[in-house]
Amino acid sequence: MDDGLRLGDRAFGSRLLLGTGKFSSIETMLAAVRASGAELVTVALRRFNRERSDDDICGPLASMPGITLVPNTSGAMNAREAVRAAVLGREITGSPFVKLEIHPNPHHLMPDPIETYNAAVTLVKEAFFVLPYMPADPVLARRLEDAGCAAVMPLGSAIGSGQGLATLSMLQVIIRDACVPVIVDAGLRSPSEAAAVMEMGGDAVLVNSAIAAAENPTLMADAFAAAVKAGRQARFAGLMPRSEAAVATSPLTAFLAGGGS
Amino acid sequence: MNLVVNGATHPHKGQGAIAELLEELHAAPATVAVMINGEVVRRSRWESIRLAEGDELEIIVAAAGG
Repeated sequence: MDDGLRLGDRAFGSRLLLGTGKFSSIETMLAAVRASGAELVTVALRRFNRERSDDDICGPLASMPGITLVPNTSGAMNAREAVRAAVLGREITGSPFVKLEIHPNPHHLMPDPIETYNAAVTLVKEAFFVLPYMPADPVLARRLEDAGCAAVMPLGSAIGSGQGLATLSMLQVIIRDACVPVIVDAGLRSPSEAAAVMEMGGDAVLVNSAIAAAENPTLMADAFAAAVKAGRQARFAGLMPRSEAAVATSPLTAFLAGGGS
Repeated sequence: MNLVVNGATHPHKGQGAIAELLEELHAAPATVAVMINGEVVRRSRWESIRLAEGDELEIIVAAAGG
């Protein structure tokens, strides 16, 4: 039923990707990664700080079996900076994947489609498996796919907003038309939204805040994993046809009504 | 020699090798990427580099992030 999520030359059993930001501690984050079953885990970049040299994030993640790191380009304001961040991320992690994100406006964090496209073209030439975070725009999705991206990652709603699938109708179009995996990224709040993405044919979801900011991140990670699996199964099981009217599930025989004896 | 490391002046006491500088900073070489004067210097080229007075370096590590 499921041959796994194919990205670049790799295949992954889990269709839940996890971001590592906003967790209260590294231990909490690692427990959530474990509970989620995620195999692709995003990390950001920052300047080395001697005072914080003990909070190495790559070490503990790399020691977990089956984890592939996906460095992101967060903080990049344009294509040039994003390409540089991607090269730095590859130097540090050794991973061929990059989550390309260019969102210059801190108020809405909407991805810049033009800079994202330009960076994607360069990074594909540099042999990255490019996973571009993008507005839920089917035209851009096609262009990024044609540029050679390994997947497209349209947003459900604004980063960290928990507004769910605000872009639902456009996501449906992107999923219908895409020839590369569609990973819905950003804005998800509840596992039911992740299940909905999978039911409508999405290939994966990337979740961070919904898990990191939950009261119990480990339990929420487990819940998202179950939802993604349930949604994927439902997609293959085939939903029943919708009917305008009620269709009885029990025989409507009249033996309870009337009658003498 | 004086270098600028992550925006701050750093008095380097060695011969200008990247490995020496990382040791001074207590940075684990396997966990960092290095930029010199705005250019990423790949790990494979570290040994061939000699830092010079006033060079501006960025030492970058991975951090938590979505």
